[in-house]
Amino acid sequence: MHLVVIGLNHETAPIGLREKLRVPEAGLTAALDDLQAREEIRECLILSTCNRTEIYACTPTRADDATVRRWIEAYFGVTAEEVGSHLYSHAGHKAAGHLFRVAAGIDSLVTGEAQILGQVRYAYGAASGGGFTGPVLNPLFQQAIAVGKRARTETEIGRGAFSVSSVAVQLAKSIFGELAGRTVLIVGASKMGELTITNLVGAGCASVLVTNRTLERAQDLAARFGGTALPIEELVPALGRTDIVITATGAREPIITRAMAAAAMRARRGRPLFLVDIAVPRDVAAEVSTLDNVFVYNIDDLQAVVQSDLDNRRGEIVSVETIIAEETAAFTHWFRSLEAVPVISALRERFDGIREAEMAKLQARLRHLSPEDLNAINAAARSIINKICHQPMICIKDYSNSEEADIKLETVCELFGLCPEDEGPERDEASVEIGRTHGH
Amino acid sequence: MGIDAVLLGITLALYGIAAIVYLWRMLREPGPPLMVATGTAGLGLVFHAAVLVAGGVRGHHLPFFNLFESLLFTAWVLVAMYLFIERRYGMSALGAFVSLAALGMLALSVALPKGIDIALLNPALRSPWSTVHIGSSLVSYACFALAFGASLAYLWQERLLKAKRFGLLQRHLPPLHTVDRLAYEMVMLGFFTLTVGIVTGALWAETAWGNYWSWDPKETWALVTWLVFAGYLHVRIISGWQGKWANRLVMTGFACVLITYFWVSFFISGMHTYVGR
Repeated sequence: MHLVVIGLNHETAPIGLREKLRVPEAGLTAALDDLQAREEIRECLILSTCNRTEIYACTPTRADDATVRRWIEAYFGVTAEEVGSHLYSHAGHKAAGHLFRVAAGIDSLVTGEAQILGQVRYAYGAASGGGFTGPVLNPLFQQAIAVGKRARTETEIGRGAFSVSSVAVQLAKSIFGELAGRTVLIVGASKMGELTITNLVGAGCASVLVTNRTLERAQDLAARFGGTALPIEELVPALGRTDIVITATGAREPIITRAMAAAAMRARRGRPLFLVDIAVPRDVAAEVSTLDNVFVYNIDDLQAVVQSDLDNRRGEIVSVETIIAEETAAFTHWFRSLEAVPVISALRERFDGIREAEMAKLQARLRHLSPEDLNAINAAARSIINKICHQPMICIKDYSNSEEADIKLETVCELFGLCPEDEGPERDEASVEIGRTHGH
Repeated sequence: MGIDAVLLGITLALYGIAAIVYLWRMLREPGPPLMVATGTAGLGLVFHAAVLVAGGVRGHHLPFFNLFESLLFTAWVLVAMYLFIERRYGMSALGAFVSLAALGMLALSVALPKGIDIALLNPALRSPWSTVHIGSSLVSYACFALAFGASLAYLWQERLLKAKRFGLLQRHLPPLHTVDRLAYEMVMLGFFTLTVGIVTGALWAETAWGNYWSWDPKETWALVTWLVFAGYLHVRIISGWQGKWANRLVMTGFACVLITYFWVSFFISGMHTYVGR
């Protein structure tokens, strides 16, 4: 049995190619069906996110990797030249190690991000639900999901902020505790501002106020969050009754001056005011932060937090790699012992075949034997086989987990005339031949 | 005395361990589970209660009639109230402060001279008011200590946020709003019990000494303390004033509590002196 992963990610392929190879959730089952239809594919799974598309497959031999590559070219309509240099492939325990790294989040664009574990879980659910996974991929992906969880609980790989807007929410919580029922005001309309509002509303902020130089745009944005639009002239009174302010205008000069903030603070009587200035150039004058109970952060402050948290997580990669090495070793041990299974069963089949053939001949020649006698002879033959097989079976299990497992197992096969990889007529012929030789 | 010393020793050890676990949780991530810290402090509280009961049974009165016992009693109230707050607010950041404070108070109670037992000194001074006066005053000290802890956490968090130092400590300190409200609630409770303490003290003074108020240093400082917290509650309730300066006022009020409780008791002689000279 051969395990392989072939795919590309944000490091090996440009976005254009990644988009071409993207399998949308809705098309996942169809793609798996198409892939499974190839003769050599025993088990398969597709992991496709905006940053990666990976095909995990189990095939009889290493040579079948080409089948997967051909399928990628055919299914996504790309040429070998187009994708060839962007695809990576890992086999056996390296494929497992790669998957564990992906699930732990250390192969992600933003180290330690949590989404990928959900995506791995989804991909596995889709493939196992459709019956595309089996004795190799099922345990592999269950282990990968466990590795992802382990990495996040045993190390700090998943800690800290991942985006500017999540830092804003985290700081708001440091000031206000629970955000339920808090009011948030946004000055100006921008994509980033909208994202931050979405996060704050998601964290519980109840009412949204929007103000902008042009009232229509404010009304537009307000409508989207079920908020209230205010003319820009009402900014100071609005500062008095909101807790969190996000400024994101394109103005050249500061929108909120120290005098305005001081006026608002008199109305607030010391209640903290949290200002997030994501505009460049700044919308909040630098002197505003000298006021007591006013907390001002600009885009650089927030980005610094994101960067330092990212640095911390990168420092954790070493500990995560230790976990992955451990888990990969466990998987390899199990996976190699899987290699021994077909050899052992072929060996048993071979000996049983001999026993059955010999018993049939014996029965034909010595007709005077009673059924009891035949049974006793048969039992003795079985016992001989068991005793002969015992030591080789232990050795085969050991071989499968040793260095040069391939060569050793191949030797065993040669020795007993077993060909576990090519089942079918060849083996029948061999067994017949042996039967005949013994018959003479 | 033997069993008392053993119980007190166990209590000290448990508070010491609790302090270490709470501190560990503040400074490391992931720290030990909260259950370990709370469990240790709670067990300490049980042994602590045993010390108080043993003392009370031997003295045939409630256990706060000398400085040693008053420290023991106040520390017990402090830890008990903290554990209640931890559960109610789901906030364990004050755990290190409270267990260290309790540890310090117990250590102090052991290190200091036992002092004069007011109840034994002059049985004529006994009055129903005495129990309420002392008990209520000591409970108010515990409340103000918690308010101080909350305000300290507020000002610390405020400083880190202003300085944009978003480290582990900043994340582990409680949100400003939470500690601001906790300080307010603790001052309310402390103010009420201090008022009861002062009024019953005046009534007791009238029966024992013949006049309600004699401007003894302790009385004066208790009044100063009362006025500071009255001022805090006034601006807070009437003007809705909060934030950095409100919390600084709480810290000032607690400084007055320390003067009333310790400084006046040790260094100024008056009618309230615990320590005999």
